Amino acid sequence: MKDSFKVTDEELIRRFQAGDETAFEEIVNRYKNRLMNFAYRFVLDREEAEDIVQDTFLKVYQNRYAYKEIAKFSTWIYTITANLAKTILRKQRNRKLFFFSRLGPEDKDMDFPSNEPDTQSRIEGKFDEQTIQKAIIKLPEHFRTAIILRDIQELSYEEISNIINAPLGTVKSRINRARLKLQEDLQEMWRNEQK
Amino acid sequence: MISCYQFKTIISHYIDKDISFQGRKSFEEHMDSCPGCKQLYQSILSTKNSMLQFAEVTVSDNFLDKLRTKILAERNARIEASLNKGFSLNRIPSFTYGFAAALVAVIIGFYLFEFQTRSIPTQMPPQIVQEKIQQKTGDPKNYYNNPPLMGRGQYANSENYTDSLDHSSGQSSRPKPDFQDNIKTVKKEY
Repeated sequence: MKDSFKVTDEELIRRFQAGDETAFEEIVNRYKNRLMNFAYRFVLDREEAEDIVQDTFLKVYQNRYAYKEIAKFSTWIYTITANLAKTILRKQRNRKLFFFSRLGPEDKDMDFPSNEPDTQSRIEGKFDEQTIQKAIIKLPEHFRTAIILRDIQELSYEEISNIINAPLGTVKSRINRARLKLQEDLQEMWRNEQK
Repeated sequence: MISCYQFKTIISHYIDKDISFQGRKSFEEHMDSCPGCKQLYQSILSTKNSMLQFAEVTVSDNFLDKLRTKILAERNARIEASLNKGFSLNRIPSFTYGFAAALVAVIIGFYLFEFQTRSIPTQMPPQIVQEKIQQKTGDPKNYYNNPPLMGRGQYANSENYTDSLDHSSGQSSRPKPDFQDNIKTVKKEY
């Protein structure tokens, strides 16, 4: 991620810890859209994604003194967002289970209508955003976090390692397996649509 | 040359340019000879590039206002909760308990020490010392009522007692040798 800011995030949080509220506003402006993107790709719901981002900043505000300059500020804030997103996801899953258990078998086919791209492009591995997003949401939680942070948020392996609190080697292999699984799922989705 | 399985394990390393020169060469050699793996690589690369072009999702226009309201509401709720709660053990910081325990231990220790130091003079001297003192003084019954070495009260009014500071009497300030012997004997035994 390219930062063209003069003042570093760490300097801003230091100022905020010293009581400068404008520094907090600057942090919000820097991170609101980045975090929104991350949260939205994770839960695929705009309102819930915005709630996650709001709660992230609320936590930063309340726990400003918990941040110690041993890690990058971006890593810290992404960790908070990822944890909140996982909590929301679990709630969503429970809600869905409850909802589906109350439906008859004929109601359970909930596939979204999709814009059909041409078959040739599918064979070449070209899928539209909606299809890829649907495949991402089907990935297991740990694969989803890794692939969003790496391929959408463009974070480095080291940053991802700090955010998900896993060794670098684990992160690399997880990203590799996530990409393979995503590709496999996309191909399967395409094959199912052909039937 | 690497196998298809090995190819799959290093595919992301190749995409992210996190691979050695030798590894890169082996990867490319395999890709040239295996159309299936080549297609897989191209699909993954294409999906990755598509993800980079995903439309940016931005927060709503009133995001900052909503955040400010949320922060204020949270702060007010905390203040209100702390006012309504009154006194609660949960609000006492945990280190206070440790401090209180240490203080109680110090007070108890101090009183125990004081009690012990006060009780030392009332303790009986060892048997052998008692016997020796009795031999010298010759009165076993009155020993504890009038101990010869516990103070100089009994000697203050006696004929034998002479205070070293009492120069008005005009007598020698040295105590008698018999008394000195008693002190030396008891000191030795202790």
